Amino acid sequence: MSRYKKMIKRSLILILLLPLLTQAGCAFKDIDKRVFVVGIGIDPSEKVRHGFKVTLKMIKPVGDVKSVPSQTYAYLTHESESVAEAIRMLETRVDKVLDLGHNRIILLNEKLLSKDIDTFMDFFTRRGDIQMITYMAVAGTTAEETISFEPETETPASIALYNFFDNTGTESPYVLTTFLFEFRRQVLSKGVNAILPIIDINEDKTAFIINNAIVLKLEEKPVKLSEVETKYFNSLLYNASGFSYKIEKEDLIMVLNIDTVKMKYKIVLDEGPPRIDMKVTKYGVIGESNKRLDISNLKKYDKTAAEEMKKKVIELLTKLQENDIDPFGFGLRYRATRLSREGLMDEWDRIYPEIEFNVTMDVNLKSTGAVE
Amino acid sequence: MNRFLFYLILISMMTYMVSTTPRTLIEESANGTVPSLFLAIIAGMVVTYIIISKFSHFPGQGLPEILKSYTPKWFAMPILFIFSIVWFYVGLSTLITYTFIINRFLLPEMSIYVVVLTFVLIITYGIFMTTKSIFYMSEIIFLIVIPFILFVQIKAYFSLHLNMDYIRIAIMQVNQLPNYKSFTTATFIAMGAANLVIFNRYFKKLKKPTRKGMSLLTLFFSYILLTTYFLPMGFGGFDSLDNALYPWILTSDSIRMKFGLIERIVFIFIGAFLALSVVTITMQWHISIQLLSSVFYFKRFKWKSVNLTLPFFALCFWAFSIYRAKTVTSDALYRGVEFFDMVILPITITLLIGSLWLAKRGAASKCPDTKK
Repeated sequence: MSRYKKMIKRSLILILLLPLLTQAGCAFKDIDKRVFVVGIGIDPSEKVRHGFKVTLKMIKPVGDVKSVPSQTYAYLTHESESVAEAIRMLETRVDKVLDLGHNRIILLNEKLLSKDIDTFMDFFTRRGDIQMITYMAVAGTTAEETISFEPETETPASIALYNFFDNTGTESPYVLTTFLFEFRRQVLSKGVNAILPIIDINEDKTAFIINNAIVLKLEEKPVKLSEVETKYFNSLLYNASGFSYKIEKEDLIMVLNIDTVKMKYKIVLDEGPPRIDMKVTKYGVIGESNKRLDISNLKKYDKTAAEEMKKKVIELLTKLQENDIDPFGFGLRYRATRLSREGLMDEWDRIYPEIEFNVTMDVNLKSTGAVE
Repeated sequence: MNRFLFYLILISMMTYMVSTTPRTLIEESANGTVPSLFLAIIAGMVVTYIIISKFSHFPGQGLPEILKSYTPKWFAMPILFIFSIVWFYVGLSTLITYTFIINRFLLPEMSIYVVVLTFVLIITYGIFMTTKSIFYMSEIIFLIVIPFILFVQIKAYFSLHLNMDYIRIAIMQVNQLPNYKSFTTATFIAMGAANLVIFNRYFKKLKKPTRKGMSLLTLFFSYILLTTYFLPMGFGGFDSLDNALYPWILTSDSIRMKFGLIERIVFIFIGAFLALSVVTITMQWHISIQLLSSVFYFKRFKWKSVNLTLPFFALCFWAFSIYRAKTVTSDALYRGVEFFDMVILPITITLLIGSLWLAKRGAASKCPDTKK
């Protein structure tokens, strides 16, 4: 009896080891049989009515990065009625499997934003292998041109656009990062508008410029934010570091480097006219000055800076309100602080155009830098 | 309380965190899921308490032994047979859910047969182990996997892109009447204690649950249940998540490990839950096959000196699960699970508690001395 038991156990272990044989390779397709898509651009189609033009940026697998003299990207374009169809057709033009699982950026043409977003975004959330942490952006010119642009600072095996958005390379408050999951939830939610960064190319065709943002409105023309507005938005909502601010007062010019921004807001309805109380606290140091500064005067500089920055924040909030867009999600907060009932969003739609903003700005300068 | 009892209950709670439970809860998010969750916490813990204390009257005995010695045969046999089918069905739906998840997110090109077979092979090895070894296996896997899962969840809770407003909107739905579907679905994940029908054989000195044990269990259950429901909201949005089939996969895909070995955390996450699901299915099918063999045991169905009853049942399990995995659609799977939660689960629990109560009376009348 025990002999048979032993035999059965041994053969079971052997059977269990057998599946290991199938593990040699990436799900039966080796890496040299795959081509990795590292960027997707979507434009409206010129030939097909209501169609899309899909551009894929692909990276070719190479044995050794050091031996590659220049870029190893390939580009493919196809126009079709839907994104899925275009990608299916592109598969017939490559000898390898198109692997979308490593893609980290989706670029949209600005003209698509006023259309029904669902018609082309559905593909990306329906497919399981596309990452939800893919970056979303809007191309300044066309998505095709932007996705196939290779700036001078781009090195082999590193994709410049990823470095902009992933906060491991450059970190700047001008660069807004929107992930696919954020974009999805903002587009589909009531009470918030989706916001995307705009990627431009400079005139010499040497570098990207990413310092604007665009706010989507449901099936209407989107609203662009200027550089300064983008910077304020980004630092208020996402606490983006590297925020700097120039103050000019009388003959004193100084630049502040703000490294921490904290923002809290509350919607107040029961005291007089409806208003939003926003409290912003900033911590930082002085980065540049045209005069010798007195360290005991820091409190005074705090106040000057706070007043100036408060004006800018109110300007931004008023502009958003005038255009009836809400990328901060004040509407969400309104819903989040009231028990659910029918017509809550209609109420908010009536309140928002008339709401007042009451901004309290607190600047805490910690030092004058390394010198006085 | 014995620590293995904790593993028994906690593992089955955790397994359903990513599979069918969140989908059903979120589907009903506007129709009173939140109050149902609180009711489910109470109901789940009360039922757990009752089941454990009933089993503590029969130390070291599984349900087959209990029923066979203290209740009439015409009552015991059908009950055991029904229970074995119920446990098989629960294991099967877990298996198919995870097969679908693998097929959609990890290995889209792999044949579904291969996935099911790999699962079933390992589980078959598992269900032939002794009850004690299954406990040891569950402890090892639990201790390896829990740090990963907690890490991902902590990372999610502290993510900058988690928007608390969506979670608060979800909480604000508290003013609705609870609904039955969410209630039973949420209660189901607390039913790990029902696995004592066979696993009680291991507990020679099972005591009534202590106050400390029960409050710990309530704490864990509340955390797991609330995280299951609310965390996906914070990433996916309140209005936009009801069409997601696997809200938790979407959530874990939205978490980014900036400096991790891999940026996309979802693979670690799915891997961890796969390990848990294997333990759960192993436990459930172990119970099912033991119950089945207590009803039908073919003494003369032998090859040399090895009885082939159990291998024969295992083969039936294989055949049925492969057939089912191939034919079922994900909608049918969800409807099946919902039907199970809403109808079969309450019946099963009532039958279980009822038969234990009968058995206790039977035991008391057989040997009146032990009655206190």
